[in-house]
Amino acid sequence: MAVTYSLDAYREQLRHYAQTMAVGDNRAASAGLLAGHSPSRVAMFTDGNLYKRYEKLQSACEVLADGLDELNDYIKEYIKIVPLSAYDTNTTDGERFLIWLDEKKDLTDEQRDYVRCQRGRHAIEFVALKQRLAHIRFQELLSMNDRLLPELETNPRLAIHLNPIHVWSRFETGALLDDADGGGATVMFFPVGEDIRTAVIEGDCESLIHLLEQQGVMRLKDLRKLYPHDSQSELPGLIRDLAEMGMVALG
Amino acid sequence: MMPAIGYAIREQNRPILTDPAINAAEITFERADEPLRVDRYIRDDEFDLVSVHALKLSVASPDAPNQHYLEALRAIAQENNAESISDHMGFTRDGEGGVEMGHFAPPPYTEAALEATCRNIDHIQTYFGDVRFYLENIAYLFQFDGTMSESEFLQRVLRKSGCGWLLDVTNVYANSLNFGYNAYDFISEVMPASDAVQIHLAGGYWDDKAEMYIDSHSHPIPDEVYKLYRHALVEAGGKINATFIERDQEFPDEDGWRSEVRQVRKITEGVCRPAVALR
Repeated sequence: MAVTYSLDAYREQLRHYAQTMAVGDNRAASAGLLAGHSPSRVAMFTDGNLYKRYEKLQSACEVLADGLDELNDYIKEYIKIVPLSAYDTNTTDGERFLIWLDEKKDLTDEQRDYVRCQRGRHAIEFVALKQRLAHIRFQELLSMNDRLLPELETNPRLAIHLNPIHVWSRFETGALLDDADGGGATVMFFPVGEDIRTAVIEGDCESLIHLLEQQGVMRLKDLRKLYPHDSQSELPGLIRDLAEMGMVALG
Repeated sequence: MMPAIGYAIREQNRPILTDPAINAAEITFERADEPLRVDRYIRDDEFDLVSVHALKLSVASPDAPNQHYLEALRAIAQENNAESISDHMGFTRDGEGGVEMGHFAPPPYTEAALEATCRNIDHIQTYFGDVRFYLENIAYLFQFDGTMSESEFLQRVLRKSGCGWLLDVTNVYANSLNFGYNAYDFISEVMPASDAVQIHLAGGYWDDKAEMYIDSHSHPIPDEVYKLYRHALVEAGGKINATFIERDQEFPDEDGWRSEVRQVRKITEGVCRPAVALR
């Protein structure tokens, strides 16, 4: 390729190099090398980059490893077809891979649950990025749960906060559930510190979380007014369970 | 001026970051920008100088870095009281909305690349204001056809943009071995082009199969790199404000971490704080 002098020509030159090298095609870059520089080094560059991307995708989709024997082959196929987008992170590239996987491969229902699980974990990261301050504030509150939980029913000033970083999903099979014989279940993903947890949410627990989603931060006495009368006695215990899981905090 | 000295922070060296030989830290932005992080990246540690090292500004691309990336970089810099940011003299992507190659390649050293690079650095420096930008020379596997040498390109970028130079001594060493130029001359040529310099030191290995030195950040700093570092300290005449050691693989034990930074401090003090002659 001839040496370029204008910005437009330079833009076109880099577009040509980057778009091809991003998927391991070294021909354009090799044609533009300085005399004495070897195309084998361009191959070293692109092979190294693709391998790093492969490793990062494995890491970004680690949940799938137990449910998808062909995962590594699919990743290898994907990175040769779909280039990394500018500013992609491990998570955004992983998410794009999962969408591709769901569309292009004939997955079983169980495998689709693994994909849902991984996507739920990615979604937590996306929500936390947008609500970083809320995540930090809630985690600070969470660190006080051990001290404040004993005061739940005696301290009228205590408010109940739902973890603002949470994502709902549904598993359609028992592949990822403790009760493997059961059908599907509604699940929630949420962070505790830098870990992402998953919990099956059903019955009174689901109702309570939806109530907190709708009403925001609430004191126990106000929550009692909105909670069904026949389950009133179970409410403090339910809150304690959710607090111990890291889904609600007191403050 | 005696440079501040420290490590690029990795989880493996966190236990020794309070060593008295360490008074600087470099944060790799892509490691620090974790969405679920709760603490600031440097935690409660205190340093005289903190710098944030980015990987995706892609200063040689035809378009300026995007606003979201700059905002995230600034957030990490502010959160950790960083006084400088840095990235590499290369391109990792094409234009806005394009693709990412995964690692930086050197641009073709042409007038057009020079213009794009300086314009992008201006954009970055305007955005960051008092947080100074440092441009790192890279280790490369190949060069594209161009109209000037790497040394000339780098000097002209530094002079025209006014940014700092992040002199990666090991990258100069690797390129000099792999492409047959004089590393001492390269440092001497470029050093006058910027009034503020930071240093990277690392160790790689000679790959017999590829017949080249690989800058893998996986080995102790080689003696030749220490010699070049001493040369850089002398040539800089006091304008180096920080020296960072990088290690990304085959991590040493605690004694290894401590002895390497102490060795760097000893060499630095030997040049920057000469013994006072007795009357």
